Parts: sequence; structure tokens; C-alpha cells
Amino acid sequence: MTCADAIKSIARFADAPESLDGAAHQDLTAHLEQCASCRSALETQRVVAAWLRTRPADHVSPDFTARLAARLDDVSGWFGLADWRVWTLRLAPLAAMLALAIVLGSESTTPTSVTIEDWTVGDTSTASLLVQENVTSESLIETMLTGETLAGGDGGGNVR
Amino acid sequence: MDADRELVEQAAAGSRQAFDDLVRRHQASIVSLARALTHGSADAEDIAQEVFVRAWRSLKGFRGDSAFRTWLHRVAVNVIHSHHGRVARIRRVILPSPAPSPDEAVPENDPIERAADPVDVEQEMVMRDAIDKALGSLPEELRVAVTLRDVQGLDYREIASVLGVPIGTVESRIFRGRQRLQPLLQPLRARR
Repeated sequence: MTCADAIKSIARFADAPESLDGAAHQDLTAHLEQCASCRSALETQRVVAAWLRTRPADHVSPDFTARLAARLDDVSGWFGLADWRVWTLRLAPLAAMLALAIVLGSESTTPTSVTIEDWTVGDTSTASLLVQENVTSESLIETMLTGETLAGGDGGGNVR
Repeated sequence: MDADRELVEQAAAGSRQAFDDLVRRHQASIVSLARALTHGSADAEDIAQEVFVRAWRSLKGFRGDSAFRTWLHRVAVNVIHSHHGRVARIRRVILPSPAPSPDEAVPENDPIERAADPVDVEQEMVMRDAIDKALGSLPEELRVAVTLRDVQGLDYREIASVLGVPIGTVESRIFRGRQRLQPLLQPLRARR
């Protein structure tokens, strides 16, 4: 290992020797035993790191949180308007109400489903005979020929 | 396991209460980072506030690939870098002959001596100021790497993630940064 190679991992070795894998650790240790310059660099790394770690913690102003909260309120108020996700959430109830109103409105004017019986109830035309259960072939032919249903049918509109 | 994960999820869903809790957890660290990287600037708290504002705005985009602390430091480093750019532009406009940027400046004398002028300043403040000034004499890329490691306590992998560079680059920057700091911090060592 050369000094140039050793320098690449001296900082990490100074912080935590165990963080280097086995081979790298062995190579560097062997180099350090022979190289005074790299041993000096290693010592410098440890000393400087230790001194920097003694940097006293900064004091945060008591009103830091309150000032930040005010800024965040502003941000939420103005930039929130530009956020489509916010709009989506805010408009969701309105969209749901509109959809419900459309569905209810359409139900009051148009049946949801229509069957052929709905169209033929009370109808005495030839077509109406086609959906009647008790119609006979004779009455059907007669109706088709004359264009009239026969009188005296039962109460359900059936012909005799 | 990210200790902040639950709060981050709540905050990302829009909970200001959860975000306020995150702010309380990390505000000292971010103010410290801002102050250390801006040579003890009085603007450090304003910069830290900007960091949290940007974090709040961007939180929905946080995918949880890294710890929240790592992500927050990345936001902070970007905000501080922008701050340096703004300050440099203002200097160019205001000063007839631009002063050298902190990255180019070579300390004329011992930063410890310069920091220790006010007799009535607490020892703690003197120490902090001296370290910040020494850090301020480093080129930005070395200053950031060393500060993240030795002041903020991030590990090498986290620093690589914050800076978006390989771990080998982080190791190199930290090595060179500490070597340059040694003569600047030597008087501080003698003082203690």
C-alpha cells in the first residue's frame, strides 16, 4: 500500500477502525506501522475531529418555533392554493354532492329501467298480444288480419 | 429504523402538529449546521427557518429512501448553498472591488485570536465562533463534508447521500478538510 492509497481511508480509520473491512484494515495497519507521515496524518485526523466535536451546541431563540409556525401558516395559505392535491381534497365533498344531485335528479324524471311490459300495459294493439301469456294462435291471426283485438278478453288484456 | 418515520408520514398527510414535532426535534441541529456553514452568521436562524419551510413544502415528495434526518440535511445544504450564492451576488453589486469569497480567503491571522477579542464574551461562544471561523476558511465542499461529519455527527454513508457523491469522495474531502484545519485549531488546543 502506498501513502496515496492509505490517505483514502485514513479519515474513516480515525473515526472507526472497525468500519474498514478485514483486508483494507490489515493493509492500512501494516502501512501505518512503517510510515511515520501517515501515522502523523492519522493523529491529526483524530485530534481535529475531537476538537470539532467539542463545538458547543447552538442556542435556538425561544420564538423560533412561533416564527416558523407563522411562516408555515402563510405557506400553507398561499402555496397550498397552488397544490392540486389540496384542491382535490377540498373539492371532494362538493364533487360528491354534485354527483348525488345528478343521480337523484335523473331518477325523478326517468325510470331506471324499462321493460316491454311497461310499454304494452293497457295497449290493445297487435304487438301487445305478443307478450301476453294466454294468447292463442287463432286470436293472434285474427287480430293481425282485422287490426282489432277481440272483445270479451279477460281483465289482464288477454283475448279469449 | 427511522425514528421520525411515524411523524413524517403524518406530516406528509398534512398534519402540522406532526411537522411541528419534527421541527422541535431537529431545529437545534439545523440551526447549528447553518451557523457552522455560514461562519457564525446572524442569519443562521433565518436560514434554518427557510430549511423547514422548504421541507414542509417538499415533504410529500419525500419517498423515505433515506432517514428523514439525512433528507433534511440535504435540504439544508441546498438552502445554505443558495444563501452563499445570494451573498456573493450582493457583494459583487455593492462592493467596487469584490472581496474574496470565504472559500478563497486565506486567514490573515489566527482565527482564534480574532474571535477572542471581546473580553466579556462567554468562553462557549468564543470556542464556537473560533471553530466556525476556522471552518469558514475551508473551500465549501470540504467545509460541508467536515461539518456534516464532525459537527453534525452524520456517518459517511449519510453524508454521501446528502451530497450525492460516492463515499470515497466523502472520505477524501473529510481527510483534506481536517488536515487544513489542524494549524487553525492548534491555538484553540493550547488555550484549553
